Amino acid sequence: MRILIVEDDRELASSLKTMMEAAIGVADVFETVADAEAALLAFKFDLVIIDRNLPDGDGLSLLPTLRQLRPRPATVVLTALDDPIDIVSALDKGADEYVGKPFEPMELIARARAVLRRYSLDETGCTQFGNLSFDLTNRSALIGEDVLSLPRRELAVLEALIRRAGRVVQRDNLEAAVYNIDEEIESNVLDSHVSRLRKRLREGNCNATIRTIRGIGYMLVQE
Amino acid sequence: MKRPNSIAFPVATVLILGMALMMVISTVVTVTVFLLTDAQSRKQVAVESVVELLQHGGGYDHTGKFVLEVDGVIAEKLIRLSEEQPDFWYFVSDGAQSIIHGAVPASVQHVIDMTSPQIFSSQFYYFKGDERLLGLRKLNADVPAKLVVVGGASFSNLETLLVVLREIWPQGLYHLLGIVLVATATIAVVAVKRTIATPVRRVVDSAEQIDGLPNGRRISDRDTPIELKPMVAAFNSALGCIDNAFEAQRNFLANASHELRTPLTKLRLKLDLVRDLEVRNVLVRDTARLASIVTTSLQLARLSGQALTFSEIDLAAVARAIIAEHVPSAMKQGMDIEFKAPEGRVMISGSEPAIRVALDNLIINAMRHAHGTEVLVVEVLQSCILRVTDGGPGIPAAEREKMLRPFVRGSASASEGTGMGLAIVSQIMMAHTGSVALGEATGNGLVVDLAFPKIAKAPPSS
Repeated sequence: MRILIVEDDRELASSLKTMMEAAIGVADVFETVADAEAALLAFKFDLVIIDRNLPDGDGLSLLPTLRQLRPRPATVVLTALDDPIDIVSALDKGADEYVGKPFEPMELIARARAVLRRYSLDETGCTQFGNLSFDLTNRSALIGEDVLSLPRRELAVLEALIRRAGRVVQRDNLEAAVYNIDEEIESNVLDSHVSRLRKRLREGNCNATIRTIRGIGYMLVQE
Repeated sequence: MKRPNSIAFPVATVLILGMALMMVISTVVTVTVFLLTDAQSRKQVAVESVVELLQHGGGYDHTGKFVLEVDGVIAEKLIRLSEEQPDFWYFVSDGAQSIIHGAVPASVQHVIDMTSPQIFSSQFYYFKGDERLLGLRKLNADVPAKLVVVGGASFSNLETLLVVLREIWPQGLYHLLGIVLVATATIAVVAVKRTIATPVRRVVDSAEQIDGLPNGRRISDRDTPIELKPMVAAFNSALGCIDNAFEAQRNFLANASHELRTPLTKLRLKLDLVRDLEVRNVLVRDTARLASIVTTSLQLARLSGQALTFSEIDLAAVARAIIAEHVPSAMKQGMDIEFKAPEGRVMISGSEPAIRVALDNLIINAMRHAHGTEVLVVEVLQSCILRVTDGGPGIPAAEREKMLRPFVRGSASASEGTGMGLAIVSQIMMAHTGSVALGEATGNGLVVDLAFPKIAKAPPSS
């Protein structure tokens, strides 16, 4: 994993670098939009962490460049401006995550990992959560070394959950991911898919499990 | 009774008192002018007045007898005075019957008999010994015509004055004018109040629209009457000054909060290098508190700095999405969050970002203060109420009200709270013309109800 950090405060940049290198992978620091843009065009990065108030402009101006890159790096915007309207505009412009300053180091790492997991799934069809490996192309999951073959619906449920692992997937969104628009969904069908999937994970000694968040949805968590 | 502080009331009072004064002055002037005229004229006036009285007093009783009926205090006095004078006489006749008082001198009887009935008014002198006395004969236009002849009357100054007063009493034009003006003033009490109050009321209505936002509404100049324009202009410019001061304060708060965030982030990251776990945890908690003060200050500054944009939103969907984001961190603390909502939508008119800030604060508060809560229940009721119920120690009833003010922390709360969470919630609900109510859950715990006003029309279908 290669990380690009765009941050003009040197002390903060160095802390971020230490932190990200310990948790995710090698990091390079640039202080300006222009330098970061040049680096992005020259090297391949998996994750970009951008601050907003930079000496030569708003970090968000890097987003159009980032969007054109193939493969496209995961993007986390870091900022002291956390007006809800600012957040929406950053996400609209193509940022994957938005973390307000000051943040808990674990929060930033968790969010960065979640974004990377999602990217990996989109790029390769594979991703990992705990000892669970998910492979969309083979339509299967691995718990450690053991293959866990899943029926179509349960695979769809697991895919939707693992895309947002560690966060709640609302029931409506999960239903939308698992069923076609025309399919009539009976009220507890989703629950039975989830409980069968949960049972399979437990029996396979998986350290990831599905939590029910009452009234909201489901969440894949590591135990 | 307290006199109302009205413009119209004193205006009317001054008008009425002014009129009364004018009436007194004019009467005095008339009397003075009269007294300055020569004795002969005065005597003439007095006698004329007696004649007139007698003429009016002539009437018939039930048997058809011609009699004198004199009404009024002054009139009676006048007649009595005249009768007391030995030389005074009068002769009243309707042609057929006559009333005679005193001795009508023979020379005068001659005048009465001889004067042609075509002569309606005549003045004559007759002699009693050496004294020349004034006589007056008057014939009125009644059918039958009443003839009054009077002579031998003489009055003192005081008596004359009395006569004059009686003379000017019914015919005083200024008295009529006075009555008109008293009536006008009475109407003015009502009308002036209306005419002055209506434009003032318009200005007041306009002032009530002032929303306290920077560069917000001002009193409209369009409807302002000319007299009030300087006041309105001064008021508007004062609002401008307040705005500037407020703006400066808000900018300071926003800038300070913003500038503090980067150093706080550095501080927090550096704390991970602290080896002593106990010290580190204390410092991390303090930093978190600082961070949340900074965040809530910024939220407060932002809330008071801009008008919220309202749209019709589904409170249940908005709340569900916000809660979903808090579940992971709550779970880390060993707290579950449960959401309850009725089937279908609960439409309200509100600002989603503001409601997010309010609910964020309530959930963060519960995570901070409601230790021992196993399940934090967030509920959306059909009656447009967003309810958060925790299982913590709750807030004593006496403290609940003041918890809604900034920088007030519960007496039982640990050092973590900023004391601004509920104040922000309260401010957001105020902007929604809703309300915040703090209550007690069954088995202690705090219940916070955010009540939003219902949308008047039916929510759109689909």
